[in-house]
Amino acid sequence: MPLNLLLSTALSSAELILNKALTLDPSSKNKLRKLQGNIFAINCVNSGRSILDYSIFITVLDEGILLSPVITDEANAEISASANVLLKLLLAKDKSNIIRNENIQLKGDASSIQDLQAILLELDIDWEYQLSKGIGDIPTQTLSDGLDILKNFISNSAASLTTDIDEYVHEEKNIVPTAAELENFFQRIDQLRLNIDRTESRIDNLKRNY
Amino acid sequence: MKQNTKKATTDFGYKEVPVEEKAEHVANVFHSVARNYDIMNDIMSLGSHRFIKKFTVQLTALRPGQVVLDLAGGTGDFSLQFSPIVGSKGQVVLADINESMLRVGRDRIIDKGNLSNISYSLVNAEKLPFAENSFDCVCIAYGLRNVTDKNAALRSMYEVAKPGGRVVVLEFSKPRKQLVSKAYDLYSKLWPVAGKIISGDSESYQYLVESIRMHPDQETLKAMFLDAGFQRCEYHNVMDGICAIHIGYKDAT
Repeated sequence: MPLNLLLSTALSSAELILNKALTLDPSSKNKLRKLQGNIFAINCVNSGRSILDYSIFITVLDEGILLSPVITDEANAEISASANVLLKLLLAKDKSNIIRNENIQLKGDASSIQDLQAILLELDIDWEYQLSKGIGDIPTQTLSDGLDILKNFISNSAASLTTDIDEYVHEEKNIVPTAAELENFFQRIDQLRLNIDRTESRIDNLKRNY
Repeated sequence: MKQNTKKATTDFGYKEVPVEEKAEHVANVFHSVARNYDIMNDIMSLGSHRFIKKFTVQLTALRPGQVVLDLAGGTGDFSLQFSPIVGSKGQVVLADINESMLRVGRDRIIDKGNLSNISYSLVNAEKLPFAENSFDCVCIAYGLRNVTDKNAALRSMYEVAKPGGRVVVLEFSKPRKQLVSKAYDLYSKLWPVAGKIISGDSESYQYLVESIRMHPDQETLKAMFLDAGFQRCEYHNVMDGICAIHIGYKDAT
């Protein structure tokens, strides 16, 4: 795959965020030191869809991690799977279940790649503490309360907006049918198909007899 | 390089100058632009040089413990990125032919508190004063076009690279699409004007524009890599070929 600036920029942004997060969570950083010098490869293999075929290499440095699309040496551990399986693996709590059931190839020291993933997923950053170091305790508390109110407002508004749009499109404008109407329509199609099948077999029957 | 009846000459932008004078002319340009170099880079590339440099760093494929030469490293952008990758067991050598640029780079790196694994060297890329087979990677970014004898520089880089090592060259190149080429030509005409406003010097930036036009295109530079002795060479176009990153490998055999 030709390497491009977009993938490179995406990787360096992810690297920047992860490294920033690591500096804010010293305990994870200490755990990461044990893996220092290791190189992990993640191969995304999607046969036929070359745009999604790529490899990402994670090198654990003295301070933080390095994400890269190329490497000159062999990786210590390698994991190869299709994009959706990799995503499942990333999000699942019970990883061993997915490793058993899905098409995943592991090469090298697989336990250290799981250690790395556990460290990155368990990053626990106390945002309020970090913020309070910069702007003080009381403004942080006020800001945090304000953000909570804003978050609630946004989620409530989003929910009611979804309901309103749904009602407007279905009931008022009649642009698209409602779920009940659709269900009814499909039932009638099924009934029609059955009737046609019966009529067809009846015609066949009549043809055979006369 | 063109030969006239009296003296050998080489290009300095669109002008022809005697070979022995090009280095001095280029030195004057960089003495003049050193202080505002990074600001001007941001303006000329609309900030994209940061992404391109990061991409180049990724393509160097450096690992902890390796030794890297940041040639024509000037203001130290690359050295600062190489340093945490090669770590305490590795080594970065920041080298430049221009004292002003090297001084700006060294001050900047020391100001950032990095005193561990970067050393500094005033060198001519055509005759690198390092032992053969010293570096896992040699990287030269936006520097090769200013070198008088580019072939000699590539041969010298090949020599100092370790077997199994690589040389990475980031340089302006030729856009592949006509439209991009036209837009880029138009935009680069503004650089000397911006240079005049920001650093009071339009001539130096006029030289930058001209030297970009005179630089060999992707395939020519690739052929020059192979001539210099590299066993393999590949290049990646960036932004449709406005820039290109060439990588030459010195095979271990």
